[in-house]
Amino acid sequence: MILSAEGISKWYDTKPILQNINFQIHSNEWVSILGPNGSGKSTLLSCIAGSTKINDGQICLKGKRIEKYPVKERAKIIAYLTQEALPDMPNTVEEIVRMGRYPYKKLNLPWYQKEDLEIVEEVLSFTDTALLRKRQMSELSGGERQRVAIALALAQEPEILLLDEPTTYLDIYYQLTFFDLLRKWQQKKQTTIISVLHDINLASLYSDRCFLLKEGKMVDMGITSEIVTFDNIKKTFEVEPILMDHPYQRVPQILLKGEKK
Amino acid sequence: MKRIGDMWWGVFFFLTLFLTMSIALSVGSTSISVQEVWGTLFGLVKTDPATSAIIWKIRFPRVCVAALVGGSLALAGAIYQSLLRNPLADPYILGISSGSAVGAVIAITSGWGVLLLQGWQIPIFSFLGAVLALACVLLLTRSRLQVQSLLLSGVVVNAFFAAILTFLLSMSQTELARIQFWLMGSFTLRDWDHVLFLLPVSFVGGFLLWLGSRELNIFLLGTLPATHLGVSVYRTRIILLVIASLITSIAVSVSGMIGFVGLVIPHFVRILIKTSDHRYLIPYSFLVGAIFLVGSDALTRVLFEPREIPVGVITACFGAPVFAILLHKTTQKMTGESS
Repeated sequence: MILSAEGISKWYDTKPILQNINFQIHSNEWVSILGPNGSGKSTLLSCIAGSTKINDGQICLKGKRIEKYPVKERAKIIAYLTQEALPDMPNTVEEIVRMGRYPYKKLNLPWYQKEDLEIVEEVLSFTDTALLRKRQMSELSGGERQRVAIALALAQEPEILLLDEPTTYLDIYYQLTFFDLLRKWQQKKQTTIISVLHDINLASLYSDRCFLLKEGKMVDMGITSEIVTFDNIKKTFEVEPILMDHPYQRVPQILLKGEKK
Repeated sequence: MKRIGDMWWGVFFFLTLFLTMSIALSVGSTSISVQEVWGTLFGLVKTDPATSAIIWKIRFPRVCVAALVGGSLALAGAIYQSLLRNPLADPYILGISSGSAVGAVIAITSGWGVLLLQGWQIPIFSFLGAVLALACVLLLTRSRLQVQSLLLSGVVVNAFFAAILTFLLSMSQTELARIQFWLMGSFTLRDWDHVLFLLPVSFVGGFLLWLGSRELNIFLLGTLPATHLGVSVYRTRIILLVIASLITSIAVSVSGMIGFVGLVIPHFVRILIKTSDHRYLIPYSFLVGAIFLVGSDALTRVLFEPREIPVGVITACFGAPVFAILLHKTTQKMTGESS
């Protein structure tokens, strides 16, 4: 078990955002957090990342409470990728990906170790950004930028990768390549992935387990095929879906009814 | 244009600085040839005592002060622009300038401690004023050092000290010319003591800031991503801010408020070397700032000889158009490429 949460609660002023959440996550798992807007899923992810403080309960990372980690030590274990693309900055792709090696910096000298540069090379070729290395961020398309963002996160060599709706702004081609890439990386490096997703079909294609959140409470959790059910989706999203089995992958997929024309 | 290696820019800037300093040493009320300057500096030839005295006692310290002040201001400007994530930031944005101006004007008008401190009276008062202003800004901002609240506190402190300054100016009629000269910046009568005062601060401070270049690079990603990459954002920001502010205060206390250097030079360097990598940006801003101010100071001495004009006039007159042209060209290129 790499990560566990015991009775965590979070509220802003008096408004509860998360209420008594419990879970355990094992290494090399892919867990997706599903839920409607405002269900607290992004907040939950940010609590796991340690950048939002919880009001009650505790989150343990490798058996130690998350707030006990210095930021640098935490960054060696957890990388966090958000839906916002990297900002327009006057740096080359290579310079940005190298920033991912920051937590491993030993002396306080602003140069990189040989080992760091090797990992940057590995990540650049893995994410297919090696050809972009001398390009400026402002010259890249949305899909390319998100590839650079994932390269930056992977360069941290995280044991846990947190994804907050990472493909929101991408077309279906980039969405698929993005998730395929992550699954390949996971198999290679035994990474644990926790993702917040809007797209139930993508979640059920890629994740091992799902958490279902509504109004800050855990509705259900378990193996994806047991979570993505008619009752669960109706209960949490207030939508009546049509459920089908994916013809090749043997996972549930949903169709939406919509009003008749 | 092919991108010149980042290292070679350093060599180029260094040679330019050397050349600018040589020329600055040769011009003035008595003209001395550049060969003679080099001969005197490196002790290669015997020059007459008068020339030697002009170079060693008058011009060389003045040129060194100009170089150190220019370097410090440009360096601090680069740090401020990155930390505040604001291209319009300069070393004076957090009220340091008005704080030190108030200090200097109090020193000039009151004459307090002039017997004890002598020539150091104005620098020490203006340094204290700058530190006071910075302390006010930090106290007002206090929690978390958010960029927005820093900038706003800067505005408030600036306004407050500007009010005091106006009050002091309106009260003193006799010293106006002297105050005016100080406010626009000047290197007249600066000697080796000033160099020794500036040198350790700008070199040690500059080196410490350079050590923070990796963090500064990461700050470009934004505060939250920087935290997730393992940077202690709050601690790093306050350390860098205080060092940059101290360097600025020292520079201003010696030379007065020289505008434009801290704002423009970092941008100029970024455009030239085509990267914002702080490992290069910091030392190169220092070198180019030094070149710019040494050159400007030389011009103040020769343009309206024998009258000397405040160096701030030159920096603005020459810096602004050059910068405007450069900016125009880069934005044109950028929009041209994207369409």
